[in-house]
This record gives sequence, structure tokens and C-alpha cells, in this order.
Amino acid sequence: MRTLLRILLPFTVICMATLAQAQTGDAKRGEYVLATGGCVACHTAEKGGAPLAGGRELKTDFGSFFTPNITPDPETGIGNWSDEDFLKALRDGVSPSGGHYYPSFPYTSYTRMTEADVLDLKAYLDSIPAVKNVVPDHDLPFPFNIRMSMIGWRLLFFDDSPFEPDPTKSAEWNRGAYLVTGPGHCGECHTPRNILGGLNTDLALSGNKNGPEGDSVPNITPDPGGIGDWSKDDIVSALEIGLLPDGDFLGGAMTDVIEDNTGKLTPEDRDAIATYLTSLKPIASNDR
Amino acid sequence: MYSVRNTLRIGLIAATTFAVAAAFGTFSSDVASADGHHYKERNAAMKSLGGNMKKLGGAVAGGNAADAEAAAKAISAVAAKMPELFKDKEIPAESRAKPEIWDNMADFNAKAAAMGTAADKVAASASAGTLGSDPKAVVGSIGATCGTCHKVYRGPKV
Repeated sequence: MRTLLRILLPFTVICMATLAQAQTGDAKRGEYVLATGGCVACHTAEKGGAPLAGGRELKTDFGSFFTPNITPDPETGIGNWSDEDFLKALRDGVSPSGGHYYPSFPYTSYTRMTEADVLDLKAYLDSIPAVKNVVPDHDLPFPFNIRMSMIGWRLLFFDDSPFEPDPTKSAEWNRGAYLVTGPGHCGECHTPRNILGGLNTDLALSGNKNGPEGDSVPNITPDPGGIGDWSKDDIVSALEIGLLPDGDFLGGAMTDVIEDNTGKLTPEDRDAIATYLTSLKPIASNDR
Repeated sequence: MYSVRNTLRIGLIAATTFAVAAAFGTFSSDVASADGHHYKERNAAMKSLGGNMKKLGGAVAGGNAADAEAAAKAISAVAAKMPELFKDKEIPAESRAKPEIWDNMADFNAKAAAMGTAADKVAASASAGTLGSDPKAVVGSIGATCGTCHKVYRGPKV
């Protein structure tokens, strides 16, 4: 009996450990976190690429980035990543091999995501079909092609403080603030950047004349040049189906955002975003 | 005395302006290609789409099937005119039209036709009394076709 126990005990412990590891995140919740993060739009190649298998080209002032494959393929995706690897990538912007990501990957916003959200997202990504897909290397001119330059960039522009709820505000407001500044990463396009690509946080969400693909991105603060005359319902309609107050429909890159991100949120979360946006300090549209 | 006269005069001018504008509005689309003001007509047509989308949403919310049908039919009518409105490549500084429209005319026209089909469907449901009462669902069923086209063929605000 004792011998049997001695043989079985380590085995049981290993089994329990494996089970515990497999259950760190909740894949079902993670599918929703994926929508809050809008991951699909960038991590899927245009013209019918496999979902999340990467390869979309992001053209910027700093060169062309090709988004990586985040399906669980062990060779070309993130199948070999541990939970710690994933947390480090999303919240610190550092790859499992220690390389620094370019801020075209919005870890600068994802750093505000809760550990629970990140691990649930990981559990979901582990559950989707692995796709073997090698994506092209980034095509960047000097000096941006030197990844080490990101160390300096991080010192200047990366604020890794976590999201701190404001106890003087409602739960709804705090949820909206979390979604907008964390997973939703709205500021990555709607906030102007300086010449080195750092976000000008004093002008947060007041529009960006030089957004993705060189397009201008509108002011979403409650300024007359932004969404000053919009009701909360107007904001919710725009986020849900792209409808603007004058009956117009949104286009450009926001179409992907509505399809993969804001359109998939619960009505409560869209309301929370509207509550947060309408509470912001109005900032006049800028020329940057 | 003067004030009454002034009021009358202003009223008359306003009425005349309105009548002229209404007449111009009605006929301008038909004489579109002759006078070469394509951009203006395109722009007016697009604005009328937005206006009718708003009317449609209001009509659905208010349970007014006749108004909803009229708005959907107006949208369908503009959809039918799109190939003519965009026939000639004209991109003045104030235009948000992307040059890609004229590189992919068949696709552009197919997208416009999809808007017409979606609007016809709404008009038919309104006429059959099966439109439902959710304005976002109804407006969104046509709006999705607007977004698909704006995504690729319309640039940001200038």
C-alpha cells in the first residue's frame, strides 16, 4: 500500500499542477477580453487572412510593421508561451526572448489591463486553432530598425503604472476609463504623437492629424470640434453600428474597430465608455 | 408700417428662395452630368442619404411605417443614381472621395447596389408591417453597407 502511494503521489501532484496551470485563465471570458482589446483587427491579414494569424501591414511614419501570429502554433505563433511570457509581452512590451516591442503594439495601453483580463485572454488564445503562418519582418528605415533604440524610447515615453480606479467616481465611469485607456487603447490613434512617436498625453483623445495609414483621426473629447454636441446615445450608436448623429456612417480604420471591438461589447460597456468620454475635459482640436 | 412691409418682404424672399431651392433640388440630379457639377451633386446626394437614415430611425422609433417606407425608398433611389453621380473622376480639395473609387468602379458600384438592396428590403418590410420597433437594427441593416463603402472609398474629414 505504501509503495503504491509512493508511486501514485508524485503522479497525482503532477496531474494537479498541470490542471492548475490549464485553469489559470477563463477562456470564455477571454473571448470577451479579446473584443475589448480589438486584437483581431490588427492581428489578421487583410483580404481573408486566418483570424489572429498575423501578417497585416501597418504603415506608419516610422516604416512598415507586420503584425505577428498570435494563434497557438508553437513555431510561428505563441503556442510555447507561458502565462508569464504573455503577461510580460502585454504589460511590459518585452518578448519571451527579452526583445523590446515597438509601440505599434499598444502595450503602452495594455499595461493598464488587469492580470485577470490578460490571463483570461491567454486562455482564449490557447483554445483557438493553431495556424502555421510566418509573417514578414518589419520593414523599418534606420534608426528605427535598431530594436535597442526602444530602450531609450521606453525611458522617455512608457508609463507602466497600472490602472487605478478613481474612488470618487461611479463604477460605470471607472469601467469606461479602464476600457478606453486600457484594453480599448483608443488613445493610440486618437491622441497626437510627438516627433519620436510618443503620445502627447496633455492632448489625450483630442485627435491626431497623422493617424494610421496617414489618415487624420477625430477629436473625441467633448469639445465643439470633437463630440461636444453628442449625447451619450449618439456615442453608443457610433460605437455599436457606426451611426453618426447626422445619419452618416463611419468609415476608414474605425470600421474594423466597430466590427471587432466596440460593436461586440455589452450594452453596459458601451454605456460606460460614453459616460467616461462625456466626462472628459474638452480639448480643442490640434494641428498635430 | 415699415416693419409689416419688411416682414412681408422677408417672407416673400424666403418663400421664393425656398421654392427655387426646392425646384433646384428636384431637378439638379437629372441635369447633373450636363453642367459638370458632379462633386456638388455627389455631396448633396450623400447628405440626403444621412438625412433619410435619420428619418428612417425616427420613423421606426415612432412606429410610423409609412414614413419609414418613404425614407427607405428615397435611399434606394439615391443608390440607383450612384454610378451616374460618380461616373467622372472629380476630387476637389474639399472632397473626401478616394481616387481608389475610379480604379475599382465595378466594386464601387456593387457596393452602392448593396445599399439599394438593403434599403429595398427595409421598404418591403415596412410595407408588410414586419419592420419591428428597433431603430438601430433597421438603420444598421442599411448602415452596414454605408460603412463597407466608406471603409475603403472615403477618406477622413478634410
